[in-house]
Amino acid sequence: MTLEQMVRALLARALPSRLAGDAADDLLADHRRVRAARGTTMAALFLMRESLSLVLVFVLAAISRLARSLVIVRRDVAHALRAIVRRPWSSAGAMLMLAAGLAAVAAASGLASSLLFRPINSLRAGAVHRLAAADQSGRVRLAFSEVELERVRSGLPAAATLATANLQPVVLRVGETDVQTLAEVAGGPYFDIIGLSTSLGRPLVGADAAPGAPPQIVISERIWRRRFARDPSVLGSVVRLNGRAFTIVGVTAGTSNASLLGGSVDAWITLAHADAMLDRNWRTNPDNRWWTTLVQADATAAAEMTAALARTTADLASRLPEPWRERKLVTLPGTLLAGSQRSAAVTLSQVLALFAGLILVAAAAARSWRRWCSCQH
Amino acid sequence: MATIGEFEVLILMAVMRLDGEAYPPAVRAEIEQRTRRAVSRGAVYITLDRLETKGLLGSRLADDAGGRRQRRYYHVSPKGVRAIKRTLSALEQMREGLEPLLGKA
Repeated sequence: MTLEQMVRALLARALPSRLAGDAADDLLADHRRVRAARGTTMAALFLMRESLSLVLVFVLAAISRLARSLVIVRRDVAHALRAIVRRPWSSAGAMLMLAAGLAAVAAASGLASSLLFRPINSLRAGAVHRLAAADQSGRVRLAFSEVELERVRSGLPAAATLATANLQPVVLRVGETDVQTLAEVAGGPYFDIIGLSTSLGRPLVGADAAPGAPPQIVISERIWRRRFARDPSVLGSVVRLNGRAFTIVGVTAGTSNASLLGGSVDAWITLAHADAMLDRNWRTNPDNRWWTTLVQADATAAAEMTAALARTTADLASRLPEPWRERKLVTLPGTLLAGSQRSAAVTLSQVLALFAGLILVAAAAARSWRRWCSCQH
Repeated sequence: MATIGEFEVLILMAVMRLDGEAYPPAVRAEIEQRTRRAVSRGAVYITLDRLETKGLLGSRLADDAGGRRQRRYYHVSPKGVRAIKRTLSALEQMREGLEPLLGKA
């Protein structure tokens, strides 16, 4: 590191960013003049003295600001203690209200983060990600077509696994009753990645998705409870989904789980029988973007994953230039809220936090006003 | 109402005098030349920063005379002009009646 770089680094740390560059330029210009007039040694001493004094001025100013703020805190604490001694009951009431307010804010933010930012699979929160296509302005698209996913699958590193899902409204016929509900077409190890287990039977596995595999379905605990009266011999029964017959092979454990917030899913089928729910061109039309996509890869595979996504982006741009010209594959946090929903939730949280902050500021201003008025009298 | 000290008044006046050419080394040189007293580099920079924070100065980035690099040039805001007038007026009022002791200068 040269002397010039050292001075620039030192000033960049100590001075406000809008001043640091100018100050370094001026100091180094003076340094060059001193070197020409008085030699290298004197110039080095000059530079050391001037840069240290410049830094010292700003450091002392920062310490002075901190000391002033501590004096204000000390004054406020003293005022609070006097108020407690003089008016213990009203002070206790104010403290209780403040504590209740803080508890309410903490509870609300905790609830919001647990509901809105809940990971899809809490046991593998850091390992499960959403796959998205981001444009240059950072807007993301979460849906992919099967044509695009074929390229993504072939480019994935060995340490990563990929699952896809498509949520659709369906008509599920149980016995003689039609139920309007939601079902998912699940691809890859979807149950494993979102942490969905079965209380009866088994989840859908790779063999269920093989071409020619018999139509199998997993139903939710709710459907099992309401439509089959928790009948343990439900496995092997036949239900009809959008008019097609499927054999029940499993019942999910507990409340149904989906990979999107608010998705209360009652049935899952595999890609092999997706025609029951999707447009018939879903396999071949690159514009039919039916699939939300999850990737499971732990932190050790992050660098490998980033490189693989960059390669796949280039591959997609060469094969499908129009939709992929200025887009790239990215991974997003694996939370139930995603994309624009997540942005909207973040904005809402910020507005609520701002609102709470304004209330606190208004309360503090009212308190200061009262103090000022009492001083005037 | 912003209160300002003596050195801040000197800085504001130097910036006014330099009329659009007020970058930190020039401000420092202007004060040293007119007041015939040494001014530290740090004092100039931190005071310029403080006056800008108070809204008494504004600044813009522009190319220097040779066009070799960008500098930050300062100008006095209307609020800064009012602060100078107020301070000078206060000094004038305090000076009244002290002429026998202070002389004309």
